[in-house]
Amino acid sequence: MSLRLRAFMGAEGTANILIVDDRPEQLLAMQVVLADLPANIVRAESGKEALRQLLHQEFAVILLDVKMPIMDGFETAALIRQRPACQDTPIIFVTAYDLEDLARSYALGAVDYIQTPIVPEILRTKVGVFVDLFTKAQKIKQQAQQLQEHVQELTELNRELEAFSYSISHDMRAPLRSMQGFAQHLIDEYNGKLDEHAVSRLQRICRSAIRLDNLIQDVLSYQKILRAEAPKDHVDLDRLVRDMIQTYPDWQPPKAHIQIENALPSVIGNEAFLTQCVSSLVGNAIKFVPPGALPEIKIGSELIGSQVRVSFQDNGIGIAPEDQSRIFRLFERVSPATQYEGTGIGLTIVRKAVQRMGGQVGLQSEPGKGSRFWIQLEKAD
Amino acid sequence: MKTILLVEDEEDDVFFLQQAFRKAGILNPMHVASDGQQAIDYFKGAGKFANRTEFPPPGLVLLDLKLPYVMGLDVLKWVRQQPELPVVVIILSSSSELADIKTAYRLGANAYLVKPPDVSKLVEVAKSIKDFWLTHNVLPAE
Repeated sequence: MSLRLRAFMGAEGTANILIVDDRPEQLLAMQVVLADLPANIVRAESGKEALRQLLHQEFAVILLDVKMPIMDGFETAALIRQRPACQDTPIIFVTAYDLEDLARSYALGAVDYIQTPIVPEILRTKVGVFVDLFTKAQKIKQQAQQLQEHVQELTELNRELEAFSYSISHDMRAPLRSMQGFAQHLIDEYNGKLDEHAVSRLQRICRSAIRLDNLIQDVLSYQKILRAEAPKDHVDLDRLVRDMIQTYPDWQPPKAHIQIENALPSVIGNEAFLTQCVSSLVGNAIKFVPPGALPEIKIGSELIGSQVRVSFQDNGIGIAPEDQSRIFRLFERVSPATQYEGTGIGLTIVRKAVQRMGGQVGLQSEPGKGSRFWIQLEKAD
Repeated sequence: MKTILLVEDEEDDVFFLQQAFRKAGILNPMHVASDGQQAIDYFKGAGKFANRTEFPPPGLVLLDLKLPYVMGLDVLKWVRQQPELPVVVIILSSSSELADIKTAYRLGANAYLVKPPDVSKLVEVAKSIKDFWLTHNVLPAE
């Protein structure tokens, strides 16, 4: 708990009431009536003294006698209101009933008035309301302060997490690179000196290292999608997808055949997020084909109201209806790892990224008949 | 023939880079500084690098970022503060963090390469360094 908060809590429950009157006997009378309230009472015998008190502390309410010599209640109120710290401090005028006085007191920002001669019950009740209000306001301030501290703690935690994943990407991946590198080195440089079993086992080391590296990369990507800033902008989806196909050799013949049915419309989204989505969806479509089949993917779009649904139709192995709801969940895999490599994170990333761009994802699929994954986003003008 | 200085603390990475350079047909002499301070010593010709015939000033530096004692970016900053050092500095790091890349270029890196996760791809990286930086690129001092 911060020092500031502790200091503040020490003052809790001790609301201050300022009573201002030039007659000591009147001050004493009010003091006696208000003695039962859970508050400190501070006395001032003149407007000037009242202003001086206001410099030192905060008051739950000010009781101000109207008729005082030198500086009367109205003048005092006007000066109080000029002080920024006291602009909202409730002022109750104490006065004999006078319509003109009343109108003036409200114009000066009085919240209430108390008629003289004072009726103890009325005075206590009215002042009690303001003391109560003040205590509650303090409590709210304190909670706001606590909330602020929680936010700070969370921000701190987030920063630590970021540093942690940064160090993962460096420190965890370096030994993996060594494992894979040395195994590959043995395969390449000791060619002919190793029997086929040895080579096959070295290949397994390589594959495992690469798999673990993919997993680390996917976890990092997922973490980025969860937390990165994602400002939304106009994204030229057609250019983005065509550029990606150009960039990835695995997305081109003879390894795969990708066809964009019509020019894809522009959408409102985040380019980095969309790149990640297209990469995962097309990557899956290429990966999950029956052994020996050439991946054929059709990317198309349709307008749904003000939104665009972009779909990725593949000729892959398809997904059984009972599995369709769980494939978007983290680490869920519906095909055996030995047959299809994957980390079980790709579609979770897609769903989270699309959610953060304010869109939706879905699929239609049947085992043996391919899948059609879609993402739906707001269309750009 | 330009001398290459490899600033890398990971012994394994040194091994793979040397292999890759050999496979790419790079015959330039290569020396290794295994931390940031050693790199600066090499430039100064100080300590174990005092013999300038054996350790001539490098024409090309491959600089890792995460190094003991003096970090890679600080080495880069130091190098760029020396007016008599027209040397190509290529960052070769496993970090693809935008902050690192931006700072490296701001401090005067000539290129930024991310260590490929698959070591066999290092040969491609080495070949491109050979073609561009060791063959076609020209520096003011030459």
